[in-house]
Amino acid sequence: MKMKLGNHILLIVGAFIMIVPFLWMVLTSLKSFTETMQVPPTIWPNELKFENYLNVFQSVDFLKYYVNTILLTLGRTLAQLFLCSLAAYAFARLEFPGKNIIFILVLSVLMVPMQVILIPNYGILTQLGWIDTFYALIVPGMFSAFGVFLLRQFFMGIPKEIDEAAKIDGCSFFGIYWRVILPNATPALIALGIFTILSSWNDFLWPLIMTSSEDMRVLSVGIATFQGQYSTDYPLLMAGAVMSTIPMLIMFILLQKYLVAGIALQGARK
Amino acid sequence: MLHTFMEGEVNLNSAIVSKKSKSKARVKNKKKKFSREAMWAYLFIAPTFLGLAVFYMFPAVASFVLSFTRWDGMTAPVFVGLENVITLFQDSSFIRAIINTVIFTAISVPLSAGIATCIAVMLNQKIKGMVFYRTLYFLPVVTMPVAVGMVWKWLYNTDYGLINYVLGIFNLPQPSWLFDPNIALISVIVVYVWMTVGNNVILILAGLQGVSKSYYEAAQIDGASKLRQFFSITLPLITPTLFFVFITGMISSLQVFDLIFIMIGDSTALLEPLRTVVYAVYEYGFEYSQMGMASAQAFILFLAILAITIIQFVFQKKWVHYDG
Amino acid sequence: MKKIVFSIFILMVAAFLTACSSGSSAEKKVIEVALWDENVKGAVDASIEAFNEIHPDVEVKVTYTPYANYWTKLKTSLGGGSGPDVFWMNGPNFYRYSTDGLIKNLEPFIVEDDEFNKDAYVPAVVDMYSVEDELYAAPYFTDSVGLYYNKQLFDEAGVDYPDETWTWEDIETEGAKLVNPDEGVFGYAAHTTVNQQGYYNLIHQAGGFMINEDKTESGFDSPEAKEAFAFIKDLIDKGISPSTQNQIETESKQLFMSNKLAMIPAISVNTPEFYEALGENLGVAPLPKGKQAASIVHGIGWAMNEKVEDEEVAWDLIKSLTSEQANKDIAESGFSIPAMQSTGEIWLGSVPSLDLQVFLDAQEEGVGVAYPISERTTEWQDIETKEIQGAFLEDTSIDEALDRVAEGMNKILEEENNE
Repeated sequence: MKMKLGNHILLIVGAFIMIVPFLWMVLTSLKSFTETMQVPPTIWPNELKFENYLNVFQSVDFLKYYVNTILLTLGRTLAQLFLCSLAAYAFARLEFPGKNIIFILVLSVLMVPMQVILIPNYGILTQLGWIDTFYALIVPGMFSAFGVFLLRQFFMGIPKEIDEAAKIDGCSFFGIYWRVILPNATPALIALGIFTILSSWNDFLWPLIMTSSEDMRVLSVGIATFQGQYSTDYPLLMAGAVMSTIPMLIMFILLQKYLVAGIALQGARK
Repeated sequence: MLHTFMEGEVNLNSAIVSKKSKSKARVKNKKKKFSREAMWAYLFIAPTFLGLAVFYMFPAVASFVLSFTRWDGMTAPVFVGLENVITLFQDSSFIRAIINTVIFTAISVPLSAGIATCIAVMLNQKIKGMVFYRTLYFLPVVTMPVAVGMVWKWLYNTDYGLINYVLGIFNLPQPSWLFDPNIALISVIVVYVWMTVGNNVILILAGLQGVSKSYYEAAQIDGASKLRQFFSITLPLITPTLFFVFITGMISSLQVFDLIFIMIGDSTALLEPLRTVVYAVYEYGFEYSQMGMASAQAFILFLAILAITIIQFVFQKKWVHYDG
Repeated sequence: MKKIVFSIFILMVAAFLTACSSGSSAEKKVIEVALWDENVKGAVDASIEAFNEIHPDVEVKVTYTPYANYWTKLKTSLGGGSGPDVFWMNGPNFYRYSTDGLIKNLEPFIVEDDEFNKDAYVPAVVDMYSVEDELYAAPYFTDSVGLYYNKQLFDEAGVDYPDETWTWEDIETEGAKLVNPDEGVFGYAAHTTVNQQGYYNLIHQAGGFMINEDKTESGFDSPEAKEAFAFIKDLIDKGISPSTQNQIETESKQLFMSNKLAMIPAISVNTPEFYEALGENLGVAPLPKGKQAASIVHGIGWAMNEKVEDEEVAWDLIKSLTSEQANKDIAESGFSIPAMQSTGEIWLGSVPSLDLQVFLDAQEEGVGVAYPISERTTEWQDIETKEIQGAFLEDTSIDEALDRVAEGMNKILEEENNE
């Protein structure tokens, strides 16, 4: 019992440090513009301005941004979970010539700064006729070296005996992947899912540059329009940010239990 | 050479390869099976590889070619050979940027991984309200970068910041966290660690699920202390995850840019200790319109990251345990 | 569950494949417009409506990109081989785009067209967007610099409001009276972190310049420039102005809007937000004179992509965006000063309690000075920022820093002229 209390205290102190910026975001979203300019800053708003949230909807088409962002996120995440796990299975379990070279090539994708591939990439999308379409938003984000590497690490930790057994039972390679590897890697798939959902949801530079029209706009870009050249409308910016963050929190609360669900490894490591 | 280095790793993980040379007959037999297996492997990898090739590798190669040119990013590039690279290695501020980036990475990656491991182990317990705590620790990851920048700037503000306000109460010195060359880098590292810890916690939490409870049961019977259990059971078993955390952490922190951009902005003079390589890439590429130079910088960085990554892969057999 | 996921995926792949083959059929002609400030949306929309009356078959697509990312996006799209047809241009970037042949020379259109008269616009801005007297971007709105003040703080300190008779000396003597350390109140913001509303004006008021007419020589190491910075340093050392570090960490305009700063030189675009924060306590006066009166004038122009498909249509759109009616719309929105001089009067009414005439006077010949630019402006401005802020932050010799700025800038200018 004593031990548990200690745990709680430790966790609460740590959590406090984690939560401050989020609280600040919420409090700022309820202030007036003039109050956000105050020096020194006020912590609790002088007057709670809930209408800021309404103003966000009035000044931009926030609902459309939601829909666009959800489409982008779903498309990228489903594709990544499938494609990355397939490739990761090959890297973790199968033998083939050039394996290491190909793997390093895949990883090398992570090592080139975004800033220098932006212009050539824009050229490619222009050639494909994808600029300002959903293809530009979704397709390039369906492939992830990070995802392949992450899943490969986890797949390698799954005891070999399991798929050896399946192989003897006459399972095909795809069958082993689908029926043995995937069910045993739930936490890793959930982790990748969380990361992909989050990075797609918050992706800013890519949608900003590859799309232009209002119809293609996503949340992150929509919120950024509250930043002007000379002044930023912080209350609206933060209200938009809060509304954009809440779906992510709900997502996390729903998914985290699968993250720690524990896997019943069939017949292994006893 | 690369191939032989990597082979070591494969040997460790795959029983098949180590037995490869045992008998010629078996090799022959294997070859036939090998090609079918290889075919499937290529099929599984193909979609991802092609996608990465079109949208990442090809643009990267284009950028590599451009690093030998003078190019403003908009009009036709002019070939200049190695001029960019030579200029860079004579440029003390680029050398300084490399050093800053290395210091940044060397401190932030282990710190973030270490803290994340502790938090993950705590969050892996079965105590009341765990969902609540986990969500709280996840908050920095979901908070919008703009809000993160704004809050930390306020916390660090010399005259009106919360940190110095608290220090003032206790009559302690009140440094200017972001503008004192001696501590600016540390201040930014703190924010970086704060931002990345949540991601690593998720990874390590997922990794911890692969550790079978039977190990702990055995250890408890032996009377091993909690701390001992952590070091002798938990830690070795999550090394594949930690390896991943280190590699990806290193790759991304060697390319740190966004955070510094948010904390300092581009209109003010950046303190020398905060100028990282990718910050320089951005400056040259998009502020000075010298895309060729920016590409050269990016390419040098790429080679460095690649080298460090390969070295890590070679040395992983010393500490990473893939199988029970 | 797995089946559902799988079939969604298959559907996506199928949709992806079919999309590649389906080209867009020829419908309406589309013209793309890019700019960064959503505050002008009303005025821009009205101009497009007027344009569509002449060209009902053309669809105008407008994209607002936040300023922080506007240039990155523009460069990427131009570099990638496309880009908007008509877009906003500012001073620091202008030469790069015009000399590299990325934007069209508008002069041929102007010569053929009686409806567009260059003389109607603020001369300083027309000059800024001209290369060898040929216009490359059509002026849209301008911003000049004035001295905003907080009447409440002046009343409390018993100091008379600033007026057109004020000189540098008054900033120092009267500014000192306005300082109130207990309340954290400063007298005047001697900007070291922003140039347009800060030291650029002081350098010209001292009789100096940032760059010479031929764009071959830097003026940062001149005695006049050094005098301007000595004045700034003096104000900071005496505690009349916030320090450089303070200015970086907390924007001076925030102090001003929080009743913690009595006077701030700022551009006309700031008027709406200052007025929202201070209301009737807000006042504005001309910038105090040094050896002479001077105020930096900058403005935004509309440029045309060199690779535009139908230049005649694009020109008609630019004309519509810079027409008298468009200028009236800008003026009425209160956003900033319209570039067409005859419509300036309308803007004066946007905040009736303020003497906005100050900003129009600041653009007059003899006072208004065009924002300094050359081909690689952003590059030497970067040296400028680093050296000047560095000298103030680390408290090293500002004169030596200015010498280094001039040296670096001269080198860039020399390279520009050799190209």
